[in-house]
Amino acid sequence: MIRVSPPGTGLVQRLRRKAERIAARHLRTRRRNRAGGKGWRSASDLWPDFTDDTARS
Amino acid sequence: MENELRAALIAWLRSDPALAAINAIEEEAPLSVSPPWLGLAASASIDWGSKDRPGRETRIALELESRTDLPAADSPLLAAIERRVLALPPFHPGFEIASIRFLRSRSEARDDNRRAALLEFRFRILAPLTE
Repeated sequence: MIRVSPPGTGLVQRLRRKAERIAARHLRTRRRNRAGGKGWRSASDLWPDFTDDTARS
Repeated sequence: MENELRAALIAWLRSDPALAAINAIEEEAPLSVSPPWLGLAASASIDWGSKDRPGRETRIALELESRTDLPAADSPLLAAIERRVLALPPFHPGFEIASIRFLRSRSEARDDNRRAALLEFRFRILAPLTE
């Protein structure tokens, strides 16, 4: 038996998936911004020369 | 030696009555506690040994987060933290301190009236002398 989706169903699903991806990305960005301290918790970001092995070889 | 230094530093900061206003002093940041909290944000070490004595130069960054509208409200706490770090006693199990130096600091305003500051220090440490 051939099942036919109503017209527009695929488009609605694609739009919903895209909207969910955008919302998830927005949430991640918001969480990152709220946390603050960008680059503060990485030794290589804070002291790139200090943690660079090649600088001391 | 770096891990021993981190543990000694956290214990030293926790035992300071001048820092009693801080809700948590932990070996991690950010913390899931109410500000103010102090966490060890990052650390790294390189060799600083001599011919007969292993040693490390270790950099440690401490992050203080507080909740205030005033840009300078956390200044007394930051000054107390800096004083305490620089006063870390020289002899510990596993390492001895040759020098401690303040490197730099930075501050930022965050959401929900939170402010944060990062204090960076350089420690030069040596393995204890074995008799």
